[in-house]
Amino acid sequence: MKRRVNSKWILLVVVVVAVAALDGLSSNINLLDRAIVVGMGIDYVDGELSLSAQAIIPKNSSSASQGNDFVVYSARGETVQEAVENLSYSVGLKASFAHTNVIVLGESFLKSGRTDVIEFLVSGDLVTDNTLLVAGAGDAKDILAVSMPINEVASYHLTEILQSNRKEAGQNPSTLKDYFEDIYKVGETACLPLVFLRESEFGLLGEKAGGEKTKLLDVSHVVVTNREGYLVRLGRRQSAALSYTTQKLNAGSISYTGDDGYIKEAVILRTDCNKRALSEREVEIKLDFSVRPAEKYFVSRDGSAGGISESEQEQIRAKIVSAVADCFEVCKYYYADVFHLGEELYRMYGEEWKSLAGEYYLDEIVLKITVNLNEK
Amino acid sequence: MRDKISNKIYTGQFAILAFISSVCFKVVMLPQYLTAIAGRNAWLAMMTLVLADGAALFCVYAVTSRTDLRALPAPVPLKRLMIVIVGLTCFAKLVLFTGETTAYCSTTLFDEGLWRLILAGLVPTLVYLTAKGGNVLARTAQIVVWFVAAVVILNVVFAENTGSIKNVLPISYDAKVVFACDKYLAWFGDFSPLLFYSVTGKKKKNIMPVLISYIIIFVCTVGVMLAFTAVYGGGGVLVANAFNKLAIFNKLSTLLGTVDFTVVCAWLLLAVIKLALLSSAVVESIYCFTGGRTVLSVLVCGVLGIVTFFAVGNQQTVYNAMTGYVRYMTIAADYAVPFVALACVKAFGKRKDEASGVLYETSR
Repeated sequence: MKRRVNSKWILLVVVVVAVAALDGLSSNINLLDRAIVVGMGIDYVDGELSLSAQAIIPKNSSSASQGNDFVVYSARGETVQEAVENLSYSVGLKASFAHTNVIVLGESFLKSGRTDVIEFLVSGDLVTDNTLLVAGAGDAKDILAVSMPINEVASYHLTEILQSNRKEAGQNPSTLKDYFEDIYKVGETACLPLVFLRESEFGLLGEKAGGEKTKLLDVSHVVVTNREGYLVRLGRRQSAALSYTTQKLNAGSISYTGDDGYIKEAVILRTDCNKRALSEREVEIKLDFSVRPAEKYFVSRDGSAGGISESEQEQIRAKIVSAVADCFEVCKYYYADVFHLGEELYRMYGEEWKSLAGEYYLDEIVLKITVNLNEK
Repeated sequence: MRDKISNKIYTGQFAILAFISSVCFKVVMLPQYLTAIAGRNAWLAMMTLVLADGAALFCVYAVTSRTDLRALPAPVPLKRLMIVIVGLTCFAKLVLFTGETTAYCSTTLFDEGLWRLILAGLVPTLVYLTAKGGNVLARTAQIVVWFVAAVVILNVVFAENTGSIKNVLPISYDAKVVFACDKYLAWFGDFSPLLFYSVTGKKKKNIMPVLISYIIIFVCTVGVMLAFTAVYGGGGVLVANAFNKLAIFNKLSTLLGTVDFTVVCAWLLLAVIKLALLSSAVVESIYCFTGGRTVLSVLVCGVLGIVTFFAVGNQQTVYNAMTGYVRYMTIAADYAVPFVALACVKAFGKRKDEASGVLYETSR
């Protein structure tokens, strides 16, 4: 008797063979044969892009290496794609960028006007949109390769600083997504935290004396950029003022001179910022600050109970207003709309305003800054 | 020999298939395309066409709850014309969306994605699902939708707010919105394949599941478009694969890799069902004139593979075609045919009922 073959089994065999064969053909590379990039730096050297990658090689890692597995590799190319391909050749392994936490844009790159690079990073799937973007003072490669106390890895350290302290006054972290979202706003201005190296008194393993000298990373300043790149570097005070308007802060402090003549500090508990177009030429930045005196639980030196008096509050308000106004004036000089005031007006008055305002609309805008201070 | 394949589905299954069919390819590359033309008002373009889709959906349901396209009580030439139009449009969309699926897989799942290999894996799956017929597809969709719902809910619950709804402003329904609606017609009107199914069961007159499905479709498509604009603003023009990119911004996956993997899996399941629905519609339209559904399934999916493999080459070719004159087939197949079919049901169905006592023609 002729026996009928069960079609389900034939199908199962076909599927198993297909899956196995397709996997073999797809040239997937084993994790151990990859270089896992955790931080990337981009410089512009001799008319070419120089891509640096702080990578871990899983194949070489061991517990005995005590964290010395991270090496900074470099490769050049006319485009990012070419540099990425060349990087794999220089490492000798396939470079994987999926775990890149931070991208450092070197000063030379920011001043080169290479607009295609950020667009490539955004539109492609090389890195995620929540990858942190920072500007480097000097070469990005040097920042990635820096030795820090307790043998920290620069990429991880930068990520830690920017993610943990992102709500502290003075911090202005930016992700890839934040950057190009801002660049597509009216005024085409974005801000990046500026990383520069500071001398450290600590050695490589944390001891104060002896051993290899280390450096510290400082991210308390900001670089303002437009679509073409570098515009202006803001000072610490202006950077802090910028953070009042871009972040919902929950840390940091503002110093003031107390009624007793001593320098005191108000600790920032919470801030909020609202921008509002008052007319076609006037925008209001309204800042809400909740603060407490640093010495709240102590009696003041003149014998009065801790607290911020009316005159001291007025002084703090004036200080905040002055810092924000100063930041606005500096940026206005470079036609950098860091507070996105043009965007506020565009949202309110639409295309008509945009077409009438022209390129130098910042000259026409009157900025009104109001500060509401609550002592907690 | 008695045909074991059945295209009879329940109302709930119809609602799920409608949801999958409509949402799947509107949340991936379409947001970027619409933003490129309509800017921040792209959500208005999405809303306009989803509202038009709503009218088509209820028409299709009204037809399928009484009969299906093959058994439509209509003059034979008209019926055949409608079947041909739907079949051709579904094939054009099948090629378009197969290209989009392979592009999606090759860019998000592999770092050296060989799209032809992805296609080689996809085509046999489509053959199998198409050959099994509508009720198997509907049952599969019913199983899959729970996973998809869980993934979407998890992503919404753990979403990290990285945007501002103010990015949607200023709202203006201008010419760019209309132009965007016109150019991307092919991504809308997804319900004509369901005309080949007939809704059965005791609750087939209960429209609630379809209404709920449509509300979810509206919220998912217009909601994703609004979220996309809120997160990326005008920069959305650079962002392909919107669904993936939005999923990156959740509190759970910030350190996991380039995409939120559950979203990729969920979308792929939806894509396979959507493609199977389209290939099934093509097979059904040819089956009306010939026979042998299994052979047709192999042939149709084989032709799809060959066309995509050799003729299309890259996504740009099919994109150009579907944003060209081919897009107007959508108006004919997805918006006109359901209305004409419903009119036929109302007109000829009743006449036949009065004349012979038989409500609808049931033979092929």
